[in-house]
Amino acid sequence: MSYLPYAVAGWIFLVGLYGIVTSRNLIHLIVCVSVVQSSTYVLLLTIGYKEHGTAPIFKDLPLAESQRAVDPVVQALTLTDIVVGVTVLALLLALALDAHRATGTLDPDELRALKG
Amino acid sequence: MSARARLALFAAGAVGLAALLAWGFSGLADFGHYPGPYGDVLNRVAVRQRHVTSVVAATVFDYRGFDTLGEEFILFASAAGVALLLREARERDAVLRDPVADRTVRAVGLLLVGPAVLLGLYVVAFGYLSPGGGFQGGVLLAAGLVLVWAAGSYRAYSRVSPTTVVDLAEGLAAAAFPALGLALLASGGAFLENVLPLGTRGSLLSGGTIPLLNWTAAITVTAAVTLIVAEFLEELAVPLRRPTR
Amino acid sequence: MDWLAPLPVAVPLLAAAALTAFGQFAPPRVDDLTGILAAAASTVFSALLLAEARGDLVVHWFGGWRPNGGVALGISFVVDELGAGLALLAGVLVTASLVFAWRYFDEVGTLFHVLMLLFLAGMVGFVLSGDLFNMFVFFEVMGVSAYALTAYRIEDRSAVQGAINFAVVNSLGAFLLLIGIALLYGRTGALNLAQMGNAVATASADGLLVVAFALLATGFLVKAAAVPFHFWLADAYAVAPTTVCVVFAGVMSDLGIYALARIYWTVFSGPFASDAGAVRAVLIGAGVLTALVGAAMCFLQRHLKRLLAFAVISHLGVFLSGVALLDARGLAGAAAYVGAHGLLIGGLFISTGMLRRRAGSVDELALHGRGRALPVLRAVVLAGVIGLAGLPLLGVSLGHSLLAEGAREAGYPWLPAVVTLAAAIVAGALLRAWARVFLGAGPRQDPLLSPEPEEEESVSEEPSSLRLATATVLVAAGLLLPLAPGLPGHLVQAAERFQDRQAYAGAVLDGRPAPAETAVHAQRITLDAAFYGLAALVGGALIATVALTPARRRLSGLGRRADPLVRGLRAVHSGHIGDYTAWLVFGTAVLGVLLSLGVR
Repeated sequence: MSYLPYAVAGWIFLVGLYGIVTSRNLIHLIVCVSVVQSSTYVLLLTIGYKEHGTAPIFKDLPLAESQRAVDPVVQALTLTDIVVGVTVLALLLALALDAHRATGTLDPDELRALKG
Repeated sequence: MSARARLALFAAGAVGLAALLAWGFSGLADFGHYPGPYGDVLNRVAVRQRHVTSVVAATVFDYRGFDTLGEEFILFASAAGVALLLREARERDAVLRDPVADRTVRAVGLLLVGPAVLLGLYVVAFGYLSPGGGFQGGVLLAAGLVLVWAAGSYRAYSRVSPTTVVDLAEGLAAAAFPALGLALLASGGAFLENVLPLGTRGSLLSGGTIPLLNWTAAITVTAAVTLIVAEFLEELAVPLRRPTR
Repeated sequence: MDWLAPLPVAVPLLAAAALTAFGQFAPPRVDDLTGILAAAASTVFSALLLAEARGDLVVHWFGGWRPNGGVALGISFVVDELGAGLALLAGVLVTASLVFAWRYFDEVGTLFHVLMLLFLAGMVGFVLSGDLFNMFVFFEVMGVSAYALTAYRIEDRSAVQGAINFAVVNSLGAFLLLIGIALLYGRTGALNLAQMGNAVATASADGLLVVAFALLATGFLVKAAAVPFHFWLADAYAVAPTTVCVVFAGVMSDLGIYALARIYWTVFSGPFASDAGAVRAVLIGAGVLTALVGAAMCFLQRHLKRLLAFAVISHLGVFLSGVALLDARGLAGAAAYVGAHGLLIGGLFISTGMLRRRAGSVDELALHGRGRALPVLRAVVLAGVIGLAGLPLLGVSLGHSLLAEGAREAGYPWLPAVVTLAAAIVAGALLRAWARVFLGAGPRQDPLLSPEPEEEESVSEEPSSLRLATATVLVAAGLLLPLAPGLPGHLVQAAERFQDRQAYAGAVLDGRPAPAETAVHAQRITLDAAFYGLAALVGGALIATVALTPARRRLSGLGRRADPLVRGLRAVHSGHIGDYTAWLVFGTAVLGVLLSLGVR
């Protein structure tokens, strides 16, 4: 079963992309972007996992057993990744609001101002 | 392109991409067998070197502190960006719609604000000793403030988070990070070198500059998230306008 | 002197934060001034870093975490000449654009200047970083500020749409980067570029490395607008405020190409050494395709900013080809090209902004003849256009020269001819537009040219001398750049050092100074380059003349046969985000499959 987490990450990535390509609503599209990003969280955390491992918090875990702790670096990376995701999401949603105000629609098929 | 052509193009690409990802992932170590060395080295040395018990916090605020600086400023940019994008003219006599009229909901909601803020403060304060930290706690604190709006009134919310003060807080807290770095640089060390006394392991006074950066991150995050949410809430507070085209 | 390295990033960040905190209490001119001063300071620091980097790589370890036994604990900035040069270019363009924007963005308080400073910090951090995840963080700092700045005119539907396309496609590119970073981290256990390079130096190129390279390359090529990842650029650069376009077109997209070169040479050059030919072929293919598609689309535009945007795409294809040669002269040529191009196109965008303010439009047809009353601007724009085409000895000619030499060395003798063809078509489009606007030449209608995006007429203003001066200075600097003493030799030497993986790793991880300086080559602009440059210029003039005169009707037979191609190209550039995403996925898959076939 060791390939399952990787497969989950890959699946989430592709399904999110599918959502973007077939979307008829900007809000839905933006949330799909968020879904695509969450696949990177899964991938990062999967890479850092150790079997029978525990959190890299040494309050109760004795220092001698430091090798039982999972990788703290990917957790820091995922934290940064989540912050990035939230900020881009906020900006995209603001853009969607502006689009609705300027054109009256949220349908990507209707947003045809830039062609050719 | 028609929707079918688009889907066909995507499908072809997705099949290829899936195959590539599978091939690439197959080169990774098995799930549960992290090969190191970066994480293992940090787990081994961080507690001794920095006297904090959460290695994740040590990584975020010390070893890879410069990433966190960048990350804070991404959030900062997003707050500025949202303010720029949602900046329609604010009508003075706009009707402020309060979301909740039911008194029970209001009472319970407002009662929850205290515990939410307290939880947020706890998560920030002990963030380098147990799971938590400036970012996580900052979001909780901002959520506590949003509760004021959700359970009460927009007017109360804007009184609790006046833009002038929030901008000031956000700017100062965000500035503290590079300012600290520059100060340490000027005194002959490296940018963001941890030179404060390290204290006793496991107590609140440990980690040198880590608690300082932890709290400035918390203030920046709270302020930025509050600003972002406030901008979106203003869209509700103003009467809905007809689209211009 | 490694303490210099964080400064070009830290100062704009600090200024942005200070502006947010205190700008609300200060009069509006203070915002403008703070922005300009902070950007100028960053420029000066980058210049100092460039001087330092001439001697040896400048390495700064943040937090004081020096590597232990080849394992990097912290994040480093590693400044080489090409990176410092890009940081300097970014600083110059942001400072120039903030000067150009004097008093123009008052209505949003400090927000515009805050975002511009963050944008500058993001670009400089991206290019100076020696840590792959840190590069991703600054990529996003750059990105978030850019998305917001693009949609500045929120009441304009094309601006908002352009920003959405920009944001979604670039974010997807960033996620591809992340997966690549995750794969490399899983294999090497490191995020530091030098350490990663050491870890895989002697490994064979297996699936993970090929896929990681494909994903990282795609992520960077999205930023660098290579075909088929380029659609967002034409949309975004056409609608962003001119001040912002200057920086976008002048330096932002070039950063993607720099990053691609950096990760190739520092990480992948070891395992891919025996398959370099395949990598070269795939990337040159992408470069040539981009150059030609960009040129063709450029010719079909009448919206001046969109025309310039496609010109930028075409040039980016040329830069990519230069870097893809995997040769020192090719890389040096791309660097020279980037420098001259950045300044010249910045000047051209400023000129477009001035045309809009003076004559109220950026539509080539609507501006027919309106530029006749602006003699200085006419001269400046002409100088910029021919500098970009390949005026011998000036402008991009040094880039052409080095690239042609590199192409010959790497076994691609036909490449300079293709580049010249693309340059000629772009020059033709630019000259046609110049002649129509500033000379009143040609017909007022042209059904070949695409009408999108629609522009609203805006209030006309007298051109300020400050703005005209900025445009003139940029164009002059771009033209005169190749004349800098010893520049060709220095560029080639910088490129050779860039490609030396072991020296890089030694300097970063062990603090070993670089080996004794290799002799600086005596490099001249060869006669070849003058030929290619003239060919592009003359070709462009011919194309423009044909486009503007009745001679065109004689070519209508040819035109009819090309019609399906033109219609196809237009249809593909649909403005629809779903289409762009589908192309992104398809393009990634194709790039990955081609690389995996070639690299075994």
